[in-house]
Amino acid sequence: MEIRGRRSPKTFFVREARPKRLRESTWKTFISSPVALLGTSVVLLVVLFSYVGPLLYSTDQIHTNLDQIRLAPSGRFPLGTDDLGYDVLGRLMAGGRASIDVGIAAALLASAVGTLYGAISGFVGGAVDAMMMRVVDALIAVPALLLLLLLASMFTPTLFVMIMAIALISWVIPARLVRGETIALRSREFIEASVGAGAGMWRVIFKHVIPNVAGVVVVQATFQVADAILLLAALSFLGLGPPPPATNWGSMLNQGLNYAYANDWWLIYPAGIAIIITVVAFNLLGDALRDSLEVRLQRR
Amino acid sequence: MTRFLLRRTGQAVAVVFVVVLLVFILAHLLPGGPRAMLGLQANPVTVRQFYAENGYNRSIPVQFGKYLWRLAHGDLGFSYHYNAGVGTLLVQTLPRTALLVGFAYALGLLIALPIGVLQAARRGKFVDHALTAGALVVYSMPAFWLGLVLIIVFAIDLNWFPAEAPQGQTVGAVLSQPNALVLPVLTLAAGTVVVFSRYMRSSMLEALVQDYIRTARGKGIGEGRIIWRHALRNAILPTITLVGLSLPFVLSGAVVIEQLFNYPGMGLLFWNAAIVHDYPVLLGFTLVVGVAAVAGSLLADILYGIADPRLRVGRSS
Repeated sequence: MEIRGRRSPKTFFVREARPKRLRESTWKTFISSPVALLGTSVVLLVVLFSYVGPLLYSTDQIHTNLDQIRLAPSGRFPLGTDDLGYDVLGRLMAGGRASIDVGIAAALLASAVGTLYGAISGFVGGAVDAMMMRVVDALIAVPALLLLLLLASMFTPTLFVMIMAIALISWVIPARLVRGETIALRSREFIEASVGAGAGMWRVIFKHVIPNVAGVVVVQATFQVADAILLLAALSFLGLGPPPPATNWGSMLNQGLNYAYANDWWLIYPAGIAIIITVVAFNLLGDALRDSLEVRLQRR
Repeated sequence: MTRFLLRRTGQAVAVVFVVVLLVFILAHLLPGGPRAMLGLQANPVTVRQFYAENGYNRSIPVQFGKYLWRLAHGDLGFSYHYNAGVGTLLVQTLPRTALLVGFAYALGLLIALPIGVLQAARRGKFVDHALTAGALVVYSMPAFWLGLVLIIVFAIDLNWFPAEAPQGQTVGAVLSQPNALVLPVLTLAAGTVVVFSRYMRSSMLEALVQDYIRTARGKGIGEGRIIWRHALRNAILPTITLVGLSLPFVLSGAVVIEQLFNYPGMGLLFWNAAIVHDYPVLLGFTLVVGVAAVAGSLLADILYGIADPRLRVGRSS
């Protein structure tokens, strides 16, 4: 059993080993699972809320309005307004968009880079592999949040910088996973046959390795969306996220913190609960995907 | 065994080298180069002097050599913001963070171990699922938000505990305000409970299917005794190792907690440094935590190899 990854033991709802019926399709396993149903529908709801919501409930999230600061929830403002006069419900949608944008973009980028890196490292092997893996080990050793704070302090924290920074610290997990899978695959007959027939490294990686590790990568990427959303929230809460008028759930809480004593609960609870719901949903989705794709992560 | 130790140590040295290299590269990626460490207002004379002293005007390999040399002498850099050496600052703030993290660890283990054992014993039953769901929710909850809610409920509404952590300079002064430690410790412990109880659960599940458990059952030993004596003793070792290895991550969690509760430890120091762009502190702290993490995992592997003979062979990198 090995733990070094940033999210090794945190598998929550994994279906207990169950003999898989012959020819039962991945898709069938997925849709018959209540965990998958819950995870998928909540993720969809959050996405609809954040991206389609602003079309139905249009608010000004750019200009401050000091005539309407910190108003309690009412008919006009279902979740009240914040200290700059922004409508909190509208801000929750805008913040959700930023959180999901960063989460998904960072996870995609990290998975793409990590998959290639891991596949090359595992395929080439030997001293090159050893060297490439020490780089991964080093990046895993330094806690993500510290590196992220350092990067956010160095560069102006725009959304783009956030995505790059989170991807920069997250690609090592898929890299290590894919490297392990690649080493296992390399000794299989179909890859040996391919190499024997004269296929080069790139052909083997793109034709054989990547299709075979896709499941592992997809599951890991789903968890990384959840982790990236939490990282962005923590960073923004610490005041090192994208500056206003841009917002996300973490920066909303950073602002709300100042009015905790004033009992402005609508500045504290909605954004926090939004983070929890979204992160839970992505984790459930990851667990369900893992079950249906029959992927084993980080365990031996 | 010796071969394993040698290879493992060699790997760790290589990883430490990469961590150092990484921090060195980051210092050069600072906006404006290493001069950024002096702050925005540094005048050209100071910059020139700083570059000459630290060799930043030489070629990159020479700079890296000089950097290694300084590190080898325990020089982690100088914070011009605090006008103190980074090493000194870390040593000053370490005891307070150690106190916070220590209490959180103790409380976390105290709660997590029974939860993990209970879940493994009732695997697949309602209790197991309920606790798993609870763990997932707490795992998905930002620690700062949990802390914020605890402050609102217990400090503002009920007025049971102060919202600010102890401000004392020494360990004794901090401990003289136990009330003020409650909320920060609780908040930090919540995250550790989730992770530790998951470790304990899976470790117990692994232990419960071993042959010696079947033997014990066959001998007619009661289920309670099997779980608490036979399985737990074997399951606790891997858990403790994993718990030890998660220290760097708990430490980074302390950054958030210390900032929220204004607790003057290493985390608050690091956060302040990020806000005021005090790069020597940021780089020095990152380096120390990275190296400590590598050393910790090396130590864990060595101790594990000594404690569990089954692992001495057949381990691959």
